[in-house]
Order: sequence, then structure tokens, then C-alpha cells
Amino acid sequence: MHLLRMGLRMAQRPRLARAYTTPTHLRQDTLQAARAMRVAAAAQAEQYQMGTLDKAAQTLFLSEIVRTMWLVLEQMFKTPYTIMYPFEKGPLSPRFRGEHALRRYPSGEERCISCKLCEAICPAQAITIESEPREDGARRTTRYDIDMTKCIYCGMCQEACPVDAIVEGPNFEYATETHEELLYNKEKLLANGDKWEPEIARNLKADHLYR
Amino acid sequence: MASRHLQHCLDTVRRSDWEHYVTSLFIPAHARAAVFAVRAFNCEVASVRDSVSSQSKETIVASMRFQFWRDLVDGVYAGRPVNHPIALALADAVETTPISKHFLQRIISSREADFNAKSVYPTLASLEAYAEQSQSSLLYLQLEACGVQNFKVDHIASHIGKAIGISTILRGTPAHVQVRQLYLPSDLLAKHNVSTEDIFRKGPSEPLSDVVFDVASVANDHVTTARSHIAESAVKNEFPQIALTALLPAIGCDSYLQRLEKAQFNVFNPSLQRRDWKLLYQLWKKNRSGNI
Repeated sequence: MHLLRMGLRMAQRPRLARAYTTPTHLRQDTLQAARAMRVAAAAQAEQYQMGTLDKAAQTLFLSEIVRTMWLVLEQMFKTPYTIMYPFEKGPLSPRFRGEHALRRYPSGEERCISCKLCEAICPAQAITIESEPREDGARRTTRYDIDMTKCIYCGMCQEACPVDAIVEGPNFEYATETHEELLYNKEKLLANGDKWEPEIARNLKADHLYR
Repeated sequence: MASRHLQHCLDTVRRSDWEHYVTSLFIPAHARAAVFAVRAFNCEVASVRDSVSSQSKETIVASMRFQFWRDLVDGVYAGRPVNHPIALALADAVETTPISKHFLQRIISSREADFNAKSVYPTLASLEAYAEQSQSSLLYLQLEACGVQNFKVDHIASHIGKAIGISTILRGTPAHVQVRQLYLPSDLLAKHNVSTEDIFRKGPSEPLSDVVFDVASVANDHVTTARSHIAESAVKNEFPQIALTALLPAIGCDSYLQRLEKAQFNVFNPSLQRRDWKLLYQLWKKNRSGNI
């Protein structure tokens, strides 16, 4: 009986949902619908009040227990919602912004040309760069630090980088015990890049130029 | 060392612009390095708009990137290229072939203007102008790399560039719509009574196909015109055969336009997004036949 009442209430729902699409009449329709629902519920309560015999029959035939067992049986044939987290992982968007990495060219050369655009754009001022020319004349960073506890993962550094050197990779499992471990230096970032390069390269892939 | 830069350029073009990768393989060996450097440069500049999120109101990010490429070109021509594989490949190309700086700059400025415009193109003519600036400039550079200095051939290249630019826009429409952008000219949209919001929400429709038909016809006209011009000057022996390899990108564009016709001008048809398996054979055949 209760289920039947629930069913009736569910059947009334679409009328409310349709009202949302016409904002001008929204208020009036909602009020009317709510009033209609209250009236209907009161009528049902009178009509479907459970009699003594009905109650006794439900207890005698264990109908609630049978219904529950049926529900359990249904669940046994459904795929579970949970995943075994450290071993299984949920899907990630290719645009996921996780732990930072500095990339290299396939030749092994660092991509970063020390233009400092990421440092300039970073709204949290988490990036610190110092640079000087190398022996062969190329400008390179001598220091590239990211304070991962300041970073807000907005992805601006990645957007600003003209050579795709600094990227926010797909890794999100880098919890540490101390604060100091989250102050990343250049070695750590380059090591991240080496480790995650296949994933990063795949996420940046585009098939065709559309402009 | 030089081959390493070139390898990066090859990889970039193959990854993000496969059609022009296979097309550029037909360029004679002495000009190929320069052509691939230019193509890789184009890939990078063209992808600026997509690497900058459309939500970020900070257009400064994009202008910083464009400025980087502008500085890169300046550095290449001043003889002190930035340590970037494409800059080094361009610097090598500039030493051996006479590719001009202003076409490279023109590509950047057209892309930047396109980024800053933020809106649909008002008329077909303005879309053509963008296509001419971004795509024909590439063809002029390819011709320069092949050593062709002929204003008639340049005229043909401008037609082909417009056709390529327009067909690229048509081909990109499903991808643009996903990020709520539309490049189809608004006068045609108005003429056929299509609202941009309808395209964003519902995708393909009959009136949209009419608009696409109008736009695609213009591109097709450009290809046909270019073809007749080549035939005309070939009869008079004024068309250098080496120029044909630089104009081969027209084949990919033509093949797309033919497939679009088969798909009833529905740009959302998934068959149009696939690589054309006949393209390699068509390129080889056209390259032998002497006309696009």
C-alpha cells in the first residue's frame, strides 16, 4: 500500500519537472501542484488505511522479508558500484590537472627555455625560476621550484607555456608526510616528466588541425 | 644535430596534421626540410587557440604565446634562434632557402586576429580573407622553399589556400561546436535562417546543410579555378613542374569536398572525420599527371 502511494507520488513528479522549463509560470504551477498533492495524499490516506486482516496476513506470510530477499537476490546479479581503489582506478579526463611535470624532447633535451611565462602567470605565485645561459649559449633554468602547497591547480602554467614544457599530468597520488616533500625542485619535476611522459603525450594528442 | 630538429618537426606534423605530412613527402628532397619546418611552425601556432582554455578570460595567455612565436621568428632571422627545435629547423631552412619572414609573421597575426575576434565571421569574404592569410601564406612559403618565383603560380596558390582554409573550417565544425564556437559566415546563417544556438544544441539540420553547401561550393570553385589556371599555363609551358608538389595540399581539400558532397553536406557525418585511405594513391596519381 505504501509502495502504491509512493508510485502515485512519483507519477505526479513529471508535472512539476515540466514547470521548471517555463520560468514565468513556475511559481503558480508549483503552488498548485503542491496543493493538489496534499489533497490527493489526504484522500489516499483515508482510502488505503490498512485493515487488521491485511496487517495479520503480512506478518503471517513474511511478505516484507520475502520482498527484501528478492531485492538482495537482484543485487547479486548486478555489477558492483565500488572499485578496489589502489588496484583499480576510476576514469580520468585527458584534461585532468594533477601533479606537475617538466617534459623533455625525445632527444633528451629539456623543453623548458626559461622564458618565465609560467612564473608570471601563476596566480598563486607558487613557481620560482632562476636561470642563466649554459656553456653552449642556450638559456636554461638553474632553479625551477614549485610549491605544491601553494598551487591551486588552475592549469595556467600549462596554458602559458609556449613549448609545452610544464604540464599538469594525470598523477594524483603524491601525498607526503611532511610539508617539505611537497616543495618540488627541478630534479623532481623532470623525474616526474620522465615517468609520466607516455600518458602526458597521449593526453596532448590531436589528430587533425581544425583551424 | 640538424636531423634531430627535423625529426621533431616531422613528428609534430605527422601527429597533428597527417594530411599535410603525407602531402609534404612529395616535395623534392632539397626543399623538404624547410617545408616541414614551416608546417611544424604552423601546427604550433594553429594549436595556440585550443591549448588556451576558452573559459579563461585571460586573453593575455594567448597573446603571450603569440608573442613567443613572433619573437622566435625575429630570432631566427636575426641569426640567434631560441633553443627550440622548430626555431633551429627554421634557422637551418633560412640559411639554405629564401623563405620570407613576412609570411611567417602573417600566419601569426592572422591566427591572433582570429583568436581576438571571438565571433563568427560576418561574411564569406572575411572567412576567405582569413583562409588566404593563414593557408595561402603557407603555400607561398612552400613555393619559395622549392625556389619558384612566379606571380602566376602565386595566384594559383592563393586560390588553393582559400579552398584549404574554407574546407578546414568545415571539417573542424563538429570540433568547434563542442566548445561552442562557430566559424560559418553569419550572413549565410541568416539567409538560411539557422541560429547558432540550434547548431550547438541539435547539430545537423537541413538548413545547416544549405549553408554548408554554399560555403563548400565557394571552396570547390577555388579548386576548379586553380585547376584550370594550371592547365592553361601548362599548355603555354609556363608552369614549373616543381611548383605542383608545393600545391599538392589541394588534393586533400578536394577529396574532403567530394566526400562532403557524398555525405549530403552534413558536416557532422562521422565518415568525414576519418582519414581518407585513397589519399596516398590520389596524391601519387595527381603528382604524375601534372595537375591537381
